[in-house]
Amino acid sequence: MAICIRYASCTEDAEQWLQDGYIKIFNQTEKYTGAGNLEGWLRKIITNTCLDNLRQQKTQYNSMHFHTKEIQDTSFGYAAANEALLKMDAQNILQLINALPQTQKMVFNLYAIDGFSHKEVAQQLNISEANSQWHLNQARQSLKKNLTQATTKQYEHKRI
Amino acid sequence: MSTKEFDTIIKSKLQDGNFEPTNAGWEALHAKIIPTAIASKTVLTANSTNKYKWLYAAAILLPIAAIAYFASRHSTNADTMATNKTQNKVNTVDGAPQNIVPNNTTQNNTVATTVNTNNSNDQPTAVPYKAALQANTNSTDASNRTANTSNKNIFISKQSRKQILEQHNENENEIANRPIVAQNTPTPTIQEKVVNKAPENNIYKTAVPKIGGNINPVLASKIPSVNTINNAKQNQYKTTTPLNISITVGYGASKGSAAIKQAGLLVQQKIHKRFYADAAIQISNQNGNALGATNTAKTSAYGQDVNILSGNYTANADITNAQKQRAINRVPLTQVLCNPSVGYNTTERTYIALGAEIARNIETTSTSQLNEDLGATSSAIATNNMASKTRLGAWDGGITAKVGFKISSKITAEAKYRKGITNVVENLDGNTKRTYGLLGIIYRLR
Repeated sequence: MAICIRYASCTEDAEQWLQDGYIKIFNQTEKYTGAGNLEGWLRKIITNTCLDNLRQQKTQYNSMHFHTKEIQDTSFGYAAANEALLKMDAQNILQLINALPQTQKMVFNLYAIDGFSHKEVAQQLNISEANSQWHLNQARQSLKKNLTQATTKQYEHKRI
Repeated sequence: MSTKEFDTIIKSKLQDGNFEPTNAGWEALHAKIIPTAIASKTVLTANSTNKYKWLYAAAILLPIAAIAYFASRHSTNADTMATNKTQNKVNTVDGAPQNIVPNNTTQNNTVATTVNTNNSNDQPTAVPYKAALQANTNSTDASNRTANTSNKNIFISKQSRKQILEQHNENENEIANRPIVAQNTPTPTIQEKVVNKAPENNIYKTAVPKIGGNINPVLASKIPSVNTINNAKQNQYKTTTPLNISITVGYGASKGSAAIKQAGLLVQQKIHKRFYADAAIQISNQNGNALGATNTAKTSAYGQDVNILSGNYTANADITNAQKQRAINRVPLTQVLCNPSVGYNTTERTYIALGAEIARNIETTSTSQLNEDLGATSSAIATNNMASKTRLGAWDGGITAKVGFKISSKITAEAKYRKGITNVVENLDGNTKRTYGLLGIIYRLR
C-alpha cells in the first residue's frame, strides 16, 4: 500500500492498484524461482502494476519535452530542508510528494525511493535519461520549496 | 551528499509510516482473490473432460466405503456376540446339562451356572461338579452338543473356568467334590468380569469416521477440490516437458553411390534446459551402388579395378571380390532405421545432435541373382561357394551427427552425417561400411 499510495493520486486508486498487484502476484507465484529477495520481487510487481495503471490513464509525461540542462541547487539549502523533514511525519511527506506534478512525482518515486537508475526510469516512462534527471531535480526543488513554506506557515501560526 | 541525505530521509520516513488499505479495500481484494484462485486451477465440473475424474472419485470413495463396511461388520459381530449370550441357556461354565437359566437376561450380564436338569421341580439341587461335567460329556442330546460346540459362549466359558481355577488355586479333586452353586446365586466375579468385558456396541459405531460433516458451505464452495490440485500439478508438468512429433524427409549420397532417400517420423522430448532427446524412425532406400563403388566393369569379368569406400582392389588379387562388389551394387538397399540422438540447442534457432543409427536391411541379395551376375557356373559355386555366402547383412549400424536450423516454428532444415561402423555386406573383403551425408526437412506436427 505504501508503494501504491505514492504513485496514485488518491486512496481509492491506490487500493485498486494494490488489488491488481496482489492478483498478479497470486497468478505468478510459480514464476518466483527463489533467486533473489522475495520482498524485492513483490515490490517490483506492485511498482510495475502502478506504472501500468498510470500509463493506462494516459498521463502526458511522455509528451513533454524539457531542456536537458541540469539546474544547480542554489536557492534553498538542503540542510534546512532536511531539518524540516525530520520534524514531519510520513503522512505530511506523502502529501508533499502527491502535490508534485505527475511526471516529477513518478521520477522521484522511482529514483529516490524505489532505487531505479535513470536509465531504468527512462525506459519505464519512455523518456530520455537527461529528461529523467531534469524531472528529478525539479521534484527535489519543489519538495524543498514546499517544505520551507510549510515550515514558515507553522511558525507564522505560532506567532499568531 | 545533501541530495542523497534528502532522499534518504524521505525514504526512511515513508518506510516508517503505516499505510493500510481500508476495510472495504480488503474485502474487495478478498472477493477478487478467491474466484481467481478457483479459476486458475482446473475446476472439476459435471462437464469436465478430465478422463481421470472417475479414477480419482473411486480412489476417494473406495477407502471410505471399505472403512464403513468393516466398521459395520464389527458392530454386527458385537451385536451377535451379545445376542448369543442372552440366548444361550445351555452352555455353562463347565458345560453342564441344559435348562440353565441365567441370573439375568441383560445382554452384558449373561451368567452361566450349572443346574441339574433332571429334577422335576424348578429348584436346583447341588450336584457334584465332576458328575455334572461327566453328564455333559456323555450327553446324547445332539442339540445340546451342537449348541455347545457352535455357541461362542463356549469359548468364554472355558476361559472363565480356567481363570476360576487359577484364581482359587485348588486342585482338581477339591473342585470335583465341591457342590455347584445354586441357580439364583450370583455368578463368580471373574466370570462376570469376563462377560462384561464385551465392549459396548456403540464404541464401534463411534469409531467409524464421519463422512462429510458440518462444513461451512461458504468455505466449502471456495475450497479447491483434490482433483483441481492434481490437475494443476499435471498441467504444470505438461507445459514444461512437451513432446514434439514431426515428419522428416531427407536426400543424400555418398561418394560414387546412388542417391539415398529417407522419410519417416521424428519424436523429440526436452530433457533439461537446452538439451533434448529425439528418435527418428525412417525408411531408407538406395538403388544400387550402396557401397559407393565405381563400377568399371569390362567386357571380361576379370581384371577390374573396383573402388570401395577405402582401398582399391586390383584385378588379379581380388577378382572374386570385385565381382561380388559389382553384384552387390546392383541390389537396391532398403532399410528401416532408428536414429536416437541427444541434441543441444546452441541458439534459439540452431542445434547440434549426436546419436546412433541402427538399420535393418529389408532387401538382401539372392543367391541366384549373384550367380547370374557373377556368371558363375554351378561347379564354380560348388567349388568356391562364393555367391551363396556373400549377401547384405541383416543389420547395419553407424553413428550420426546432425546440425539443424529452425526456419520457422514448424519447419527445420537439417544436415546429417552418418558414419558406418559395421560392414553392410557379409563375407566380402574390404571396407563395406556405409558412410554418407544427407540433407533433410523436418515438419513439426505437434
